[in-house]
Parts: sequence; structure tokens; C-alpha cells
Amino acid sequence: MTDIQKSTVAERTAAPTSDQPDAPLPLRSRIMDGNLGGYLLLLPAVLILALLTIWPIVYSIAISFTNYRVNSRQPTEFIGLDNFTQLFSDDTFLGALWITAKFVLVAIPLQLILGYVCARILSAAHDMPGARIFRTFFIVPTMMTSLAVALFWGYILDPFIGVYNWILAQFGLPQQEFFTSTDSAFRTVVAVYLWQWVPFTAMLFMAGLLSIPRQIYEAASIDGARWYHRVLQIDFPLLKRVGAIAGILATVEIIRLFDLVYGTTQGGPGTSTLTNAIEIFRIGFQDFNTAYAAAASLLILVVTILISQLFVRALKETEQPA
Amino acid sequence: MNWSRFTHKVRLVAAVALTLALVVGACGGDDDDADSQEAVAGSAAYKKFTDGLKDKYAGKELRIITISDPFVPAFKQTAAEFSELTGAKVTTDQFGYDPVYEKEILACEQESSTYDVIVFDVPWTEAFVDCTEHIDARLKRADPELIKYDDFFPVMREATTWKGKTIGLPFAPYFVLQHYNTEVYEGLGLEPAKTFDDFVTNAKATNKSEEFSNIYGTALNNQAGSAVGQAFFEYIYNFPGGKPFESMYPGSKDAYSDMTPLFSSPQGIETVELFKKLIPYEPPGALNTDWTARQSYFNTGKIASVNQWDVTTPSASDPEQSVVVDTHATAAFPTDGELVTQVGGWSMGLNKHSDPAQKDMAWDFMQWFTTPETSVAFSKAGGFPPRQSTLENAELNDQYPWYSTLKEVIPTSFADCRPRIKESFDIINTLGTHISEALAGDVSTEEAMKAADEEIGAMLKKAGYTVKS
Repeated sequence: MTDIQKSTVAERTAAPTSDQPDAPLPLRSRIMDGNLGGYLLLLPAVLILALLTIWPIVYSIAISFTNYRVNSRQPTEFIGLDNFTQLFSDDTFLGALWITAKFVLVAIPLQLILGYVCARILSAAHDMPGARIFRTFFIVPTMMTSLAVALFWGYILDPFIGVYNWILAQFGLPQQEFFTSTDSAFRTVVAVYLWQWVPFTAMLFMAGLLSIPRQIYEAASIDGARWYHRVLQIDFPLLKRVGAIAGILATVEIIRLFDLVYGTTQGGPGTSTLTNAIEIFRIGFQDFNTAYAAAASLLILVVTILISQLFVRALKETEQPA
Repeated sequence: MNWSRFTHKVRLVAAVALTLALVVGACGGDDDDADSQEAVAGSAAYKKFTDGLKDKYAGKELRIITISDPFVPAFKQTAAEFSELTGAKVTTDQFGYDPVYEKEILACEQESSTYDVIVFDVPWTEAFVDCTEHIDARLKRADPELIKYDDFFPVMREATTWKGKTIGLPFAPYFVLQHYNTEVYEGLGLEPAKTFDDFVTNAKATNKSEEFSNIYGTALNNQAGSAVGQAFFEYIYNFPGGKPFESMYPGSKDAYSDMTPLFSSPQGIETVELFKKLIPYEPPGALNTDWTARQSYFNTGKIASVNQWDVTTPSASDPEQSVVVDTHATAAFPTDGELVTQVGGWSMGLNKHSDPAQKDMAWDFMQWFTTPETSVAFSKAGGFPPRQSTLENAELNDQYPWYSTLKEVIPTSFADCRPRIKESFDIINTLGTHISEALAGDVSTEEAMKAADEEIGAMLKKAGYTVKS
């Protein structure tokens, strides 16, 4: 900056002396030198955010208190909390909520445990030849789109034409119905979900494990710590933060799980795999009961936030000084 | 030839004989043949119309949204002739059943002009009344010899009309037929089922029989939701006195005057019980079977019979998709009462929100595509006959032997065999969810159907229909 420019800025930003009138700065100066310029630069991003994120949420909240249906023959009217009260007496929706809750309760502990076990194996083999290539293949399921995963496993596990049952038949083992029986469909969807998402959780845990200083393990070894001591007293406390993040991500993933279920079972047989995402899609985009779908989505949003708070609390605990 | 060497008498006899031969030839063929010959060659009205279309829309684009059903390649092939004739580029966007409905309804709600021609299914009629231009005035102005409106199947004329307003022209109607493997049936001495008892007996007899140990009996549309919901409507009317709603039955003056659901009626229960009874004779995974899977089972020789829309029938004759090319046949749907054949399929509507010039082009396309002449070309390419004259066409009858079954069943269908109101999708899905619960054994059939009655009854009551408690 030249001396002239420096002096000009200094003059412009100098505190007013008592004999100077308290005149407002010209607009150009406020934009160029004051806070206004910063706000103006932020404005396009804020507008885009408002248009694409805030407005749809506000709109969803607004229509959830009406009887709005796309392509309805009746006028849209304010109906207060009717949609929300109806949700609590809607057996199909409550059933879907229970299936989703069951999914969260079954899949997340398994995802965290299996993710940790895989991470341990991967980090133990970190320096072995071919480890990099193995890790690349290991993460491939997570990189696949869920619909492709659904179609892929749908064919493999098809009870009639699937290769898996063909292999079982070669060994004289009984055929399995997988996605097509109420007894096994839920378990099979959970298993396919884990196949896709455990590698991602393992990568998170592996990053966490690699950040733990080796000296801690060496010291524990000198003190005679066995493998389960290392797991329970070193890994778990130090991976709590990573585990909480993985838990939040998995919860959100399961609550909005759609493609995988739609591509394999469409929520059936019966309602054995009818998750809330499938049910909300059905209400909103097949039956076009838009306001009711908005109310259901908001309810799910609140539930998701509450569950996430549990993990956030766990995260905060890890930040407490020892 | 040197005619001078024949005597005058011989020449006279030859001329009379030739004249007689021509007269006999003209009178001897039946009217249908004459009509179909005219259809192939093109009527005067058709020639006049196509002459007027030559290069009329050069540089313009016509956009069509349609289902991605097996007729689409034939549709595109036929539409390409319109491009050649008029110079217009025809763009066809195709989507699966649920997505196409979703996109069309949203486009309708947004008053979008993205598509000029909207292809819709029979149960969607009321849903498109507000976003399609009612074509009654255009039909009146059009050349009746070109349109030949009365030549469309009566059931499809009714299906494209809502409360006196015509909202489209049918071009690919479907009917549900019984398809069976002739090798298996003949080998086991069976006839195609005439009643539901026959249907169960045949399924049992053909299921992993000694002679055909790798073949299962049949496959139903049991998948949860719209698949099994739709199947219910195919069967319910064929139990004596069966109807889904109080005033919905063939011959009803107003199918929507009393929408009290009757899913838990004895006939409704019998329908679901029939589905249950057939599960042991279906391939593994019966509870998740849908339209595509069961047709693939039939075409690959894994099941002995399937009651399926005729849209899939040509695929059984396609050597690339089928191993039963020469060993399959069709028959009418089985029934325990008077036969009611399920109708569905596709019609073209004019998007009300399109630009007027685009609408004119779309109307020309719709007229041209549904003329008897183009209908024959479309059917030859793999499409479906929307007209009586197309169904009678001799060449098409040679190409598609199953047309004989169509001739038998089309008069037994009625437009409202599935509701055509805005709530149709919701009704079919909700019903399908409850039936699936019953098939899976989560609840009893009675409980499932009572729950369907209550849920669908409440929905219809809310929508303003008469529903008696």
C-alpha cells in the first residue's frame, strides 16, 4: 500500500475530533471499509441458503398444519394439529417408526462393533504389502449407490434365481428366502446395510486408532496389560469421540434409509421392512397426501435431532478435561 | 399378347368372366378384411391429413412423457415416422410406473409446459382432468373419417372420459389374460382354468410334477403395495357378487355414488384366501413377486401359468427373452361367476399448460398416432391395438395369435374395474399393504381386510364420498 493510500485510510477511519461534525460515512466508504461490505459479500450465499434450505423447511412446517394435497379437489385449509394427532393413531406409520427404531437399535451397535474390529485388523495390517489395495477394495461398498447395492444383493440372494441359494443347493443345504420371508427380510436388509456401511465406520475408527500414540500401547504392555485391557482401557476411551461421530452419521443414514429398502423389498413382505422413509415416500409421492407427509417428516426430524443429541452429549463428555 | 387371334365371342366371354371375378372378389371378402386392407393402404381422409402434415412442424420439438413399458420401442419407432413426415423432433421421456405418475402429477400441479403430450393410465383419469385440455371441441372439428372415434374399444372411450369430458385418446390398452405353458398342460392333460378351483387344481398339478420337476405351478403379484393391491381388483369381480365398493360393479349407473368399501365382504376374503392358497405352488420368494419377476419366470419356463397383462404377451414370443416361444398360449381369466376382465393401459392427453402452437402439434400427433392406419403400424412394431379395426386386421392376427383371446375378453371389461378417481393410487397402495400383511401371516385375512375397509373408508369420507359405516 502506498503512503497516500495509507494516509487516506487513516484519515477515513480516524475517530472524529470534537470540532468535527458527527457526519455518517458515505455509502461507498461503508461498503469498502466498514462491515457493510462483508455483509454484502455474504448476501448471495445467505440468499441461496435461505432459498434452498430454510424456505423448504419453513414451507414444510407451514403446510403440515393444513390439509394440502397435491392435485386435490378440495381447497387447502388450516387444520391445526390434526395431521400430527392422526400420526399417533396411524398404525402403519407407527409400525414403520418401530421398524426404523428396531433398525437403529440392531444395526448401530453392530456397525460400531464390526467397524472397530475391521479397523483393528486393518491397522494391524497397515504396513503389510498389499494393504493399500485391500483397503481400497474394502471401502468400495460404501462408495456404491444404495440402489445399486440393493439390486446387486437382490439378485445374489433371490431365492429362485440367486447364486447364493445355488451354492447352498450344491452342498445339499436348505434354500433360504432372505428378502422374501417376513422372518428373514429384516435381518437380510440389516446385513446388506452393514455390508455397505461397516467399511466406512472402520475407516473412521482406523483414522482414530492411527492417531493414538504408540507409546501408550507400549507402556500398557510393559505394565502387563492384556489385549482386552488395551481395548477397554485405551481404545474405547480414546475412540469415544470417533464412535460418537460414527453413531450420529449412522443414525441419520438409517433414519433416511430409502434406496436400499425400496430396491430390495419395497417395505414388504407385509410391513416387515417398512421403514419411515418408505412410508413417508408412499404418503407424499404415491398418495400425494403432501401435508400429512410433511407432518410425518417433521416428527421424524424431531426424533432424529433428539437421538443425535445423545451422541452429541457423548461427544461433549470427551471434551471435558480429565 | 396378340388379341386379334381370339374371336369376338371368346373375347366377350373373357371380359364377362373377368368382370364377374372382380365383382365376386369384391363382394366375397368380409368387411373386416376390406377395412383392414384400407387401414394398411390408408383411407382418403388419412392421405389428406398426412398430406397436410408434410413438413408442417420443421424445426419444432414435441415432448412426450410416458411409462417405460414394453411398447416404448414400438412407440418410438412409430413416432419417428411422424418426425419424418412433419419435420418435428419427437422426444419421448420414459419412466417406471410410480415415477411417471409422480412426475406427471407434479408437472400438473406446477402448471408446467415441459411436456406437450401426457400419457396416462386408466385409474389416473380424474387426476388428469384439471391439467389436460378436454378434447371434445377438437374431436368435433376433426374429420370423423380420420378419427373414427367409434372404432376405439368402447371400454377405452369410457376410460378416457370423465363426467362427460374427453381427456385423451387411447393408444395402448391392456387386458389381463391367462397365459399357460402348452407343453406342460398338454403333457399333464390339463385345460386352461375356467374357474378358480381349476386354477388351484392346475397350479397344484403343474407344481414340480414328476414330468416337469423344475416347473412351479404359477406366480401371483404378491409384492406389498401397489402390486398385490392391483391384483385384488383383477379377481374380486370374478367371485359371484364380488365388488370392491358398494356401487362399483359392471353396469353400475354411477360407480362412485356409494364408496363404502367391501374389502372384508365374503368375496373380498375369498380373494385373499385364494392368493394364500396358491402360495405353496409358487416359486420361492412368492411374497415378493411382482409383474416383472413373474413374467420372467413364465418366459424362462419356470412356471406353468401366469395371469398377467397382455402387455407382456409379446415377450413370451420373443426368442431373445423366452424359451416358451412355441409352447405358450392364452385364455380368458378364470372366473367363478360372470367373467370381468381387468382393463388398463395408456392414453394420450394434451397438456393444458402447453403453448397453443405446441398443443396444435400435439393434437396432430395424437390424431395421427391413433388413426386406424398408424395403429396397425404401431401394433406390428410391438404396440397394442386400441381399435376394433386393428384387432380385426388379418396380418396382425397372424402375427399375434393371442388376439383371438382379446376378442373374447374385451367385451367383458369395464372402465371402472379399478377406481379412476384421484384417490386411486392411495386406495390400491393401502389395500396392498393390508393384503400383504395377511399373506405374510402377520394378521388374519379378516383383520387385514377390516383394517383396509376402515382406513380406505375414512380416506374416502374425508375426500367427500358417501361411505356408510
